[in-house]
Amino acid sequence: MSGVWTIYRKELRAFLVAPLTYVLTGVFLALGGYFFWATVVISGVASLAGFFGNTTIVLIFLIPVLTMRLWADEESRGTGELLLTSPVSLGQIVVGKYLAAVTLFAGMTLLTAGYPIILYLFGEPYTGPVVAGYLGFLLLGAACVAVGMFTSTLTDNQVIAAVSGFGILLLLWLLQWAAEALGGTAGAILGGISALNHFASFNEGLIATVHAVYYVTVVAGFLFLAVRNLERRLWRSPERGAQSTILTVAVVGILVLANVFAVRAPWQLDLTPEGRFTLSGQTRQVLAALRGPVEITAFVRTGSDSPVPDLVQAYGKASRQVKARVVDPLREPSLAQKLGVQQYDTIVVQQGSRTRKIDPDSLYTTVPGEYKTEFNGEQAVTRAILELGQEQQLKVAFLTGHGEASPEEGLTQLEGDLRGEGYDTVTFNLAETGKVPADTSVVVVAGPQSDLSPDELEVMRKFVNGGGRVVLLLDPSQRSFSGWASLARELGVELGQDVVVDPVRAFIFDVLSPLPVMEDHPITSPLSERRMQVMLPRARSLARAALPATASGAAAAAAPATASGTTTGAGTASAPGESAAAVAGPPVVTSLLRTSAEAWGEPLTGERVKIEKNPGDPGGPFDLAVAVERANPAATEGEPAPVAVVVGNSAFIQDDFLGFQGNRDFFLNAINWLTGKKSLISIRPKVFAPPMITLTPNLVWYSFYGFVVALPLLLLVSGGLIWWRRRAL
Amino acid sequence: MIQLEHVSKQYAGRTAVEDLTFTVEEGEVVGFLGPNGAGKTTTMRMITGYMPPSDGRIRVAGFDPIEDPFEVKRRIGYLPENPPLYGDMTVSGYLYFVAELKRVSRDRRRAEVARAIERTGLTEVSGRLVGHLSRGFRQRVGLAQALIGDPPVLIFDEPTVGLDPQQIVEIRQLIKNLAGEHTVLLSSHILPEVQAICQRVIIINKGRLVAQDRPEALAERLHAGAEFRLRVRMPRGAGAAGQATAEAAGEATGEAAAGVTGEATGEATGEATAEEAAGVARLLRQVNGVRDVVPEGAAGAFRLILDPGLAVEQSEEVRERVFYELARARYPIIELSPARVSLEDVFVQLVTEEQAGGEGA
Ligand SMILES: Nc1ncnc2c1ncn2[C@@H]1O[C@H](COP(=O)(O)OP(=O)(O)OP(=O)(O)O)[C@@H](O)[C@H]1O
Ligand SMILES: [Mg+2]
Repeated sequence: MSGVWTIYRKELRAFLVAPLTYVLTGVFLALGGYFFWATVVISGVASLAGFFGNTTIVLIFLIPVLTMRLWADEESRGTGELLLTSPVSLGQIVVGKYLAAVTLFAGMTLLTAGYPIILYLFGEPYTGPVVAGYLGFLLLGAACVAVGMFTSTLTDNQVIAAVSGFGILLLLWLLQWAAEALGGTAGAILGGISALNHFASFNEGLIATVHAVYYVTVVAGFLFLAVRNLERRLWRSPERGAQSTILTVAVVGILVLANVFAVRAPWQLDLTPEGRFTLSGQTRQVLAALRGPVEITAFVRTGSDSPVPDLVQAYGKASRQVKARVVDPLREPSLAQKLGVQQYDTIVVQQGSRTRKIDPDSLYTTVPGEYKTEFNGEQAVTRAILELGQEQQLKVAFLTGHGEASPEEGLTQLEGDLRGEGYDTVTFNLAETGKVPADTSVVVVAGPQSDLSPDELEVMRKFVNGGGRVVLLLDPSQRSFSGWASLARELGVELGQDVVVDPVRAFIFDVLSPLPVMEDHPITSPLSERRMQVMLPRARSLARAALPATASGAAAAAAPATASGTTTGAGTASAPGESAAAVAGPPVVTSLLRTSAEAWGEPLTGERVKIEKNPGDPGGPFDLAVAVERANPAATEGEPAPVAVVVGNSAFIQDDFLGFQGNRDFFLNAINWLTGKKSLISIRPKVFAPPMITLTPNLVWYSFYGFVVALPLLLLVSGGLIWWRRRAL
Repeated sequence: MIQLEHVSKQYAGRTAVEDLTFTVEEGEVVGFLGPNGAGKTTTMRMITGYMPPSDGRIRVAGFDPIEDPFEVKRRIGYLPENPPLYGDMTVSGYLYFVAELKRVSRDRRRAEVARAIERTGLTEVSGRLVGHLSRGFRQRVGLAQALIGDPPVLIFDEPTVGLDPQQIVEIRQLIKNLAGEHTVLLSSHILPEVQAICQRVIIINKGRLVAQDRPEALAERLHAGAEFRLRVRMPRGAGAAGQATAEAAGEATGEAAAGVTGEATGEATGEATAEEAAGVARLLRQVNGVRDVVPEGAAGAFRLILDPGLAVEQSEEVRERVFYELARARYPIIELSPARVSLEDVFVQLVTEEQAGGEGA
């Protein structure tokens, strides 16, 4: 050990008196200072990522020049003969020299401390990425120094040592390109060997053992090679040669194993402000429960700073069942085409033959007025995995027979979307079957043109009271449908016999197409966050039913079997949805969409009237869509269970209007809410809010002169002074 | 202390040292001689463990330099052919570093450095950068470096290269003083130096051992009793002039007169002496058993070379005849001693013999 220390101090002293050291440090600081200044001032972001990202390239030129003398100089001066005939081992010599060069590099890095200081003084940088960035930078530098140490032992010519060190480092860098071009397993391995790749995640704020182990491997490997190379002159006998071959194989094996182990049992410390590399507990539960392999493919433009690849890779790391791939659709157009991908940042989740596609629109939410983006990728991907994994798909049944729109007619697009969300769709006609199809989760009634017969009403009533869920979409009609009205009343909703006119909140071209206000509810809030409107072309008003469903009396009047007979109620109705337990209790009605206060209801009497507010017309605001829940009597304190969503319009989900802003999502959210998929909505989106820094024009120039001119000059001057003073010795 | 047994070394197939066997005893100072490229440096590098031999066995204090490098390296002070110096260190800083490297204990380092500086005469330059020193001073720093830690075995590869005469004398004295407590192996091209310092000489040529012995013994062995230094009184005493041989006297008369009249012209005197010396040489060449007589610089000094291959008694008889002959001619003998043959002659002879033998074989 004392040998290492002796060599280390001698080497460090040699660095400190060499003018070359000061020149190199000056160049390093000038370039680094410029990169820092340019990225921070131009982007106004208080982060060192730009500085680190650009300066890494400088290292591959700079470090070989720094390390070239380490052994080549000893060899050419003949001082190697002193070292090799002194009681120190080759290992001690190599390690001592290496540590001295690393210390010098760390010192050079320390001289950049002014950059974060400026950031902290005038902005609010995230500490995590700064710390991880410096750590990664030091590790990267340490790896480069090891390469330089090795090439210095190859020759007694310093120029050759520097050039070959530069060559190896450049190769390690360029491998990344080859890896990208190659793709596949070979590409993955090459990418794993590439030095740059591993730095990127440090620079984002992730400290991961995989990457740290990579750098440690490079250091250990090249130092080992350096010692081996110096030992060459001692390999006199074949048996020594054989021994050293065995040793080399053993060391290479250990290093490879260490990396494999690090990949297999990853440990990481996520210092990114938004926790970009950390999956929520819910996701990890979902992944732990995976029963079959899942393939997640992200289609991302090469070089974009999208969080999608990191997210997808995080899934890949979190579970061995998940195979994560990041693909540039330009490089693999056939795959993109096969999976129907048309936009960057699309994620496709596959399990077996089943596929879910997540469009980029659903990944991001911009928070208006603030420099923030919310990223909902984890929510989307986890939900997709969960849905794919469900053994039985949830069934959405469309009622027909009353002139309703159905997947065959008018709802073809919607059917595709439902299937995309993981639902199975069927249609049924009560007149034919007399019951709701088995295992139906939700019955959709999309704009009936005729009334429900009393028998059908009875079936539907039993269905909803027995735990079934419905979506009632009832357009304004001149006729009044007593069957539908009593079904609605059963759900606590009174149908208005009118068409709503909202002079304030309506589609610009049509006063009869309200763009209602969104009330706060899991169904609507994702829309209002994204500022998306729902348009209801011709809507009827909805009101709360005048307490018909309060307690048991009203419920009993409406449906004799429901109030107490929780089990028998379900008996005659077909098996209602996923829950066999009947749901009772008073319906709780919550507004989803409301008109403005200026709206009124134009009565529909059959004769043509002028659209204007008459004194007798009911005044707004009206509900246009409501959500209905009922307390679950089985669990006394249980959450109320969703029962129905009632909307005074059905046209909004038909093919003509489905594409309008939030129409599709409103309906899909409603279905998801009814079927309980809303639980996954609770995964917190990752918020990207770049840390800002504002520098006054004066500061901008002071920092330029300070970092790009003064500090490097100071180094050059001190190097010159040292040379001047020693000149006379 | 140092043993080599059948040591060979090949550089990429070219043999530098071949089947070298010798021993250096503890406390001995041994000179290592050989022409350029003979393999001296190579041998020393193998002894110090800088490189392994291709074949054979080396022991330093009983340890193998490759198997037990630490044990060997701890005991050796080594001055390589090119002094291993760091130009960017001061002399004392460099020596201090070497002291650390040689594992001199912390409290003794300063004293060690000071002692080495003093012994090699570096005091006045101890604060200067090694890179700024002259060639000779650098060589001294290299020597000082080898002395650090007072190792029992010292290996010097051409230690006095580049030194001024004054310093050469001092360093030789230093090495002589090391004898006894230290085992010293030094290589050199300067033969008088080896002759002056070493108790034993090992001569190699083309990687092979040619001879090893004490310097005098080597000389003896080669020219045993065959050459003598002879000095006679000259010019001959005035009273004896008449009894000189006719020719010699005839030549000498004028000279004697000149000598009496005064020695104003040294050149005339010198010429006269040279002629007289030539006369004496002619006289002695006629003696049976004398092969040649060569007058040498100083007046009355000759090299007396007897016929080769004479036995010791025969040689003594010849010298007896010389004595009477000179006595007869009234040239009293002041000195008659076996000549110290210079090692250079031995060396050249050995090497050429070796070459001739090698080519013949
Ligand atoms: N590193 C080397 N590679 C190849 N051949 C070498 C090497 N070092 C020495 N030799 C060869 O080995 C032989 C012995 O060289 P060595 O340096 O030992 O001679 P030396 O006796 O020290 O000579 P000198 O008196 O000139 O110093 C020479 O022929 C030389 O060319
Ligand atoms: Mg030599």
